[in-house]
Amino acid sequence: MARGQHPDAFAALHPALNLIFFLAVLVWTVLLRHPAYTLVSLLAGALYYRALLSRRAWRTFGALLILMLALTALNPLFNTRGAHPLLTLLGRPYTLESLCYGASAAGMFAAALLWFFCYGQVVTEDKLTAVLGRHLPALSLLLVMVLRLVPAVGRRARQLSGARRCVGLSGSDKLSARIGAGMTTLSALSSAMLEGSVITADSMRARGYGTGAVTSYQDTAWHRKDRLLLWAVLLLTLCTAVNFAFGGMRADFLPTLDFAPILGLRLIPLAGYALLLLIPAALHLWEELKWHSLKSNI
Amino acid sequence: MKKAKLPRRSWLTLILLFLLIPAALIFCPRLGGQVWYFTSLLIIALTLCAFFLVFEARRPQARELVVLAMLSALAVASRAAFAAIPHFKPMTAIIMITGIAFGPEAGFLTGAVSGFVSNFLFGQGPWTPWQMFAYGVGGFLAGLLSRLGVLKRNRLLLTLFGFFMVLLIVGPLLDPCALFTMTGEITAASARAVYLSGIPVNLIHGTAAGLTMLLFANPLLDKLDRLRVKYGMLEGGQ
Repeated sequence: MARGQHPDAFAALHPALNLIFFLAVLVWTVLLRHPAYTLVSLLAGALYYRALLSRRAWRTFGALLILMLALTALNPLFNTRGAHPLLTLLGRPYTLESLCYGASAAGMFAAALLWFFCYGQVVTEDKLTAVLGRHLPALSLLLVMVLRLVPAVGRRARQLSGARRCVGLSGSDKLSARIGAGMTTLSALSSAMLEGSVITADSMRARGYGTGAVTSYQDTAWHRKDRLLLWAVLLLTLCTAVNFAFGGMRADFLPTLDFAPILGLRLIPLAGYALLLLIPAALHLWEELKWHSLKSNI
Repeated sequence: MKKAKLPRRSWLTLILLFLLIPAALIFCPRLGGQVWYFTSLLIIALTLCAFFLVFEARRPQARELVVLAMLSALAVASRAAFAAIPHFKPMTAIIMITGIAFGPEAGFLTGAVSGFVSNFLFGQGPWTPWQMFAYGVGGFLAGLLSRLGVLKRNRLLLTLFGFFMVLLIVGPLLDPCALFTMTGEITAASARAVYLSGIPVNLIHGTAAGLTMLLFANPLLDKLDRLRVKYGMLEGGQ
């Protein structure tokens, strides 16, 4: 499969598959509050993030751990429900159930953040617009243009304020003077950029904007591997949804802890969920192993 | 709005707004447990989709597209013009001005796109949908009130509008993200705590929006009028 430069084997798959996977994972991570499922999502997310960023991942993990501990400890301060008070703080009970609920919410938040970070690495803007381009042409063009214009506007703003500094117009340190200078820059900036944008639009029209279908330089053909993995993602999502509908991941924290037991047959959906979430990390590791075995054969 | 035949995307929008959102409101609480975060996310996602589909269905011209993209980029990058002043973000004000100039739909779209793109630069996260929605609503309401004739091009009125809009609507719409993710269960106490802790940030944000409206709203609106006259575009409020 020739799909150019990509951070890893999962990112080299069809862009729509990447999007569908992250959408499914984020929805399930936010929706499933059973501690076993939160833990699976957290670990799988961390594993893939570690695979993507190698050693740089540890700093993020440290920050997330601190965040999780803080969120867990803080929750009972806001929420005093729960049957088992551990201690009394500022005249309010600090309960075990609320602490557990805080831990679950913190785990969910950290897992969602990790998956978002992975999403940022894998689904780049060009992939997003390649998927949306055919169905939402105007919107994805708008997105591409804004992404291109933001640095251009920033550059122009720096040029303008630099020019003002050169003629001695922004020497004052007073806040009102700085706000005034900012407004003047912004005004000049918008004049210049808006005028230019109409010229761009006329040029676009002259070159036939909107007359044909949108094309993309991304390879958007579905290969056998993509189709196989798409079915896997859809099937495992369906399996999780069925289990969800039958209350297999029921979890109540307040007023008392009450989780659906995960024993015997109930382990199967959990394993399926883990399998779904481990797809990118597994692909990544498989590719690494293949590379190492090839390298050692030379 | 043409009466003739509704395009497919318009039907999709109607289904989204009047079928799926009420369905989500009725169905989601029945899932049991703490699903408020998910429910609100779903409703935000459906609203965003509805607005995006309306935009697609209109088949916007190149000029409209480029000008909206430029205003959105100006909103995101406007921080660069105020690099000398920390925390001064005129983004919300520029979105509201776009709403006033081009109508509520364009205001919502610019707000949502600006929120999304600014997170491409500062990092996507669970807050992204909330920001897209909050900025979108800011642009939408500004456009709606000006279309209804309530919001006139009066400097004092625009300034007050910008300040209170952020303090009372956009800011509080940005806060629930913390409410849902930090404290999990919504109680009166947790809501109060989150909203009270959000007030100082919202005050700074609101002051920036009000000041930008005071000093920049009329100049930008004049520039947009000039574009309209000079190039004969976007007439009759689209």
